[in-house]
Amino acid sequence: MRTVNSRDRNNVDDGQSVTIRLASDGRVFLHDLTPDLLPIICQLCPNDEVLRQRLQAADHLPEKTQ
Amino acid sequence: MPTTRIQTDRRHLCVLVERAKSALASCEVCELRCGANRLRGEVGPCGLGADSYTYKRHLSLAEEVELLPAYMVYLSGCNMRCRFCIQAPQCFDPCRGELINPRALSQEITDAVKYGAKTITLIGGEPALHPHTILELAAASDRQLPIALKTNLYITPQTLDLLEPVVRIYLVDFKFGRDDCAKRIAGVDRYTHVLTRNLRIVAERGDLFIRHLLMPGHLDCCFKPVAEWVAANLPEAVFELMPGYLPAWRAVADPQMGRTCNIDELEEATSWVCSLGLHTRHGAVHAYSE
Repeated sequence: MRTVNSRDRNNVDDGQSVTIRLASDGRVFLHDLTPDLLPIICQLCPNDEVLRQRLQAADHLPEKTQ
Repeated sequence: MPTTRIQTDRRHLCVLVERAKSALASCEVCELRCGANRLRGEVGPCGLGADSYTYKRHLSLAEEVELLPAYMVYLSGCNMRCRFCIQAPQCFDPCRGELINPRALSQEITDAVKYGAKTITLIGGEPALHPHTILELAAASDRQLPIALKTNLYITPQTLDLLEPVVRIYLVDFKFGRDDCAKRIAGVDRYTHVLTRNLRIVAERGDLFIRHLLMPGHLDCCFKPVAEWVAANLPEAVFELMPGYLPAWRAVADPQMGRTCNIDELEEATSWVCSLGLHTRHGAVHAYSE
């Protein structure tokens, strides 16, 4: 996982990187969310209800996703 | 589904494939209606010929929760030039990525469904510029694919009709509330007429998710008219307010659009959505692909 700034975002579109922005009010903006990234984000925001739903949606996927 | 029904459907799809290919001889796939002969190498503003390319494919959990997991297929080329596009300028390249072999890609997405993908989300660029390819993907599969079309919907009713048998879910980006904003930011005319007309059409044909990316400085002119129109005309549709605008491409240097939305704008928009009876389902984390 890596974050990017506004100057190099055009280089992240390789299918391997995800843009993440942390707002000062605590919001997290993800410009994509892969099955492998989801558990990491869940640790960042363990009480987020929608994240929990996303985790449930991924439950029936085989453990190794890539 | 019975085998005979699948075979009948596939024959019908093959007819539609040929019809869609023939229509490329004078392209009116989108509302730019350029008339280019895509079969003979002429190109319109989108630059597309008859071939389709895909520049990225992966499983995603960033979509609307009901559609997850989604297998995302990014198709190259777009008919709009949104100054803030986070996929730009790469997604505008009509030949970016791999040339699509419809049979091979159809097998891949069929396998993705067997693997656990709930939907196959076609995204771009603008995926609806490839109706012939989308129909070929569906025709080559041994099952009905759960295809979701993530679209700017700046396309013609004829294209919507071609795609109707294969698209189950419409994810529509309703970006602008005024035509002058659409013209200035995305370079297209008659935007609100086209979008509202097409939204009414697709609302009758499949599950509809209307998304609006909140743009800085565009609450009164774009966000509010869009949200109000949806509340008044398609209250049953799911409305997704996307607050994670990130200036990209030409918006980076734009005095109005070269910033993220501030807290006041986010709170006002969220409160406006609630007051209209629409709702957002995001928690503290906002995840989506664009």
